[in-house]
Amino acid sequence: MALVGFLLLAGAAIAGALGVVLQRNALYGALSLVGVFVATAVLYLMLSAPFLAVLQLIVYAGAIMVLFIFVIMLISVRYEESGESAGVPGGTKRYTAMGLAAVLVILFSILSFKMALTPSGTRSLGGITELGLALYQKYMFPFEVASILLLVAIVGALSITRRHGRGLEGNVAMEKEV
Amino acid sequence: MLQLFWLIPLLPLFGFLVNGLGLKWMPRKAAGWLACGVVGAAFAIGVGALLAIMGRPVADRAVTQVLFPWIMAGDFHVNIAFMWDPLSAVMTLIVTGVGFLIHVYSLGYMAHDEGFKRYFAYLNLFTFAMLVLVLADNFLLLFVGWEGVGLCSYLLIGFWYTKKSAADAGKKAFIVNRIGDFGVLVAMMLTFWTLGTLTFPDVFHRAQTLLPPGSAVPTAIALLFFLGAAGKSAQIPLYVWLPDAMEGPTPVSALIHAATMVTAGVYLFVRASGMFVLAPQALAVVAVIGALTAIFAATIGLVQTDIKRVLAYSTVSQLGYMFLAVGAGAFVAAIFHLLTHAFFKALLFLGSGSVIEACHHEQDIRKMGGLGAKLPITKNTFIIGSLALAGVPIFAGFFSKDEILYSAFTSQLGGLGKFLWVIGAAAALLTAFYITRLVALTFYGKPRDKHIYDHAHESPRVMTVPLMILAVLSTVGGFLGLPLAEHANVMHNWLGPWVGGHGAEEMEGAGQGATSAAHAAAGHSAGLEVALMAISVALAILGIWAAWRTYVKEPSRAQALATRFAGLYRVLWNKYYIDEIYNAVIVQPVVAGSRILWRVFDVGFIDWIVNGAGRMMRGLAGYLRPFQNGLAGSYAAAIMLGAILIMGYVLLGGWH
Amino acid sequence: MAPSPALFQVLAAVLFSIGVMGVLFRRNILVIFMCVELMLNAANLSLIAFAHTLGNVDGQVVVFFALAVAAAEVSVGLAIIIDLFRKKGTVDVEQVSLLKG
Repeated sequence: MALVGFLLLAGAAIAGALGVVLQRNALYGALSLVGVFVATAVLYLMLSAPFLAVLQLIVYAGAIMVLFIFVIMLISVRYEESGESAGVPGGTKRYTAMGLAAVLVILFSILSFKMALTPSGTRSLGGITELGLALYQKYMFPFEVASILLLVAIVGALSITRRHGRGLEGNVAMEKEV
Repeated sequence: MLQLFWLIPLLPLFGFLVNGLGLKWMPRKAAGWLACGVVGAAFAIGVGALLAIMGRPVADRAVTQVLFPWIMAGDFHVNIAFMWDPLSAVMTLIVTGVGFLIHVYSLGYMAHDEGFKRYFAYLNLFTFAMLVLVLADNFLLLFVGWEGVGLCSYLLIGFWYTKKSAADAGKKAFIVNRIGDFGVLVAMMLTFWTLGTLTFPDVFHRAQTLLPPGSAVPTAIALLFFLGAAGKSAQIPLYVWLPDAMEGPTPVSALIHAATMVTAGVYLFVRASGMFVLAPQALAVVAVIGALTAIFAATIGLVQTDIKRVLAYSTVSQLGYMFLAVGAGAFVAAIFHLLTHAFFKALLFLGSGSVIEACHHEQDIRKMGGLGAKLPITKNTFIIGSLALAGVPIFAGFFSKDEILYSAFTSQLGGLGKFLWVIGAAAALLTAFYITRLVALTFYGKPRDKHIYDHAHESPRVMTVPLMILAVLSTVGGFLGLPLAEHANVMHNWLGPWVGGHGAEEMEGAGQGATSAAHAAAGHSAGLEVALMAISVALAILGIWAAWRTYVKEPSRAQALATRFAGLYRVLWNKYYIDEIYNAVIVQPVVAGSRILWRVFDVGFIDWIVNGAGRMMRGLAGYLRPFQNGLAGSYAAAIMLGAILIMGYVLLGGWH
Repeated sequence: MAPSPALFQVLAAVLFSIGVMGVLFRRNILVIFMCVELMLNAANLSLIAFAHTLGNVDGQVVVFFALAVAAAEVSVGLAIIIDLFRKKGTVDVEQVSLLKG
């Protein structure tokens, strides 16, 4: 039963991934990516990581992809017309790519099966309690660093897109000029 | 004074340094006097040191002063050390004494020359190098002096370096000398290899105990050293640089190419005679070449028209006599002739310098004539020098040349010795002829160039006084080596025990006794010596008379002779075309060879490789450049590829 | 019947390689960026699968931080892309080959 569910979700994830890569329209690609994230989130549930599943949906699908879609709409939508050639290039490039990908997959598969993994029985692994305990005890320092990282990212994003000499108003001007 | 003899070479060195470094700020007069002064002071010390060892018993007359150790490499020890013994004392006094006179003469001769100070600096440097050569106590230091005089010869021959012929002559001298130097180097190496030392007393001692007489090693060493001597002392086949060396200032010709540097080869042989007596075949070769050179050069000198060239070939010829003596085992005679030759040849050269100066730098004797009336002192001293050269009795050259001829006749060379005597006698005849010809054409007869005759004037005292001193020496100098009188023969008593491999035991037996013993053993016969003497005197007078008749009494005879023997005349005048032959056979092939090496090897091959490396780099870069296309995508692809490769390697168990 | 843990790894590998293909061969920089996110996601999946297999919560902690980092990275990356668009007028990577040489 679980296997069937896994296969369905896997199929969905792969379909979404292919969609991201193969779609000519970036917006459709973004939506496919959202699909991938949802499928992955359910997989996380299967793997007794409920908190992370939810987190995935909130952060990835809810925040990151929204940001992506903003930018796509701002930039790429108009751009599409200028004719990027078909999403996937033809000829040798295509085959090299597929070859590369195949190699990767094969390698990992070999490894995985060689490892002969057996699942342990614990089911209450990924609950908030366990995760919280780990975060605030063992991984306290990385936690704090991560918060600083987020601060840095905010400052960085603002300063990169700032219009010089116009202070904060410069950012607003973006709407008009793009 | 004896303790100070090591100063002798250092005084001229000091003069060189001061004059050389102070070219800009030294006042002219001071430079000249300093140069003369240091040589004079060296001479004074030399005299003092000589007197000091004269008073000592015979075996005790060598003093060595080590300045400092030079090379200490395993078994190879060489010091900077000077040795004062009778032989080096004689050489030193010649170099400093005659050198001093020539320095003083130069004050007058070079007075109007722009390079006055440079000249005296070089002259002092030369004196220093020559003194190092004669005072060295080992072969290597001698070679340092040897090279040094070669260098100074180059500098002084090419003194007027803006004149192409002078620059070429300097180069020629140096290059030809180099060939000889190769011989000296190999000889030294051979000596060290077989005997393990280069210091003089040790070398001769070991040679006498270790090397069988007549064997290959001493013969090879002797012949190789002779190659060097042939270069430095202008023997066949390496004499060709000496006539060209006349491009240098005349006092230089007097000092270097008559009295001192060219005698270095003779000195080397006499110094190392202890070793060379072990190689009789080599000495025979030396004697033959010496005799041949003597007559060969004399024939060329017969027809030369440049006053200095005549004297140059005369020098080559007289050096040949010295080597004849060496080859015949008469080492003392060789040095004796070296001494007398220094006197009269320097006199002749300085005299010719006086003539050249009087004729406003004209050197062609065909334009001279009748100058005797206007240059009395020069004429008279020149005549004295000529008489000495020709071997007229009581003048110096007679005694020394005679002794050489006698030694050749009675030497252990046997029949060969007698044959060489004939050659030497014939050369003596020619010598008398050509020098009289020179005197006649220069000082006697009717002036052939009115302009030159009118402007001729006697030289200043600073030039004529050295001439007079040398004339006196040329007259009385011969009495140092009186023949037939054992006890009065100063040269033999002085030098005899120190040359030719006499052991210490012989020296202990007091100098005179050993000398007479050696002479008795050689079959000395007073009657024979007188007879040979009479023959050589007769030849000298014959030569003088013949030349006088040809050039003074009936000048037309000379022209008639030249026309009758036109072919011979042309060959002699062109020096047997030796220079042209050398050029064709040796020089041009070498030049062609080097041209090939340049074009094919250096430019073609080596440059091809070097440029090829550059071309290869550019090709490689051109191949790699497209990878840098600026597209992030392809960079990402490269990263991916690398990551996959590493992962693959790890995953398949390659790295833990 | 539970799927064997290895299968999750294989799935992660497949998603990852699809993402690689996209990074290499799409020209629109935004799409490239999205493929990078895809790759990150695949890695996260792999980590969580391991955490489940090994009974260890550390894997999930790592994913937690990876999520945070991805968020930061996306915001800065998009800021750069916007700046690039302003300067070059295009988001086609093949037209932005300033590093060429």
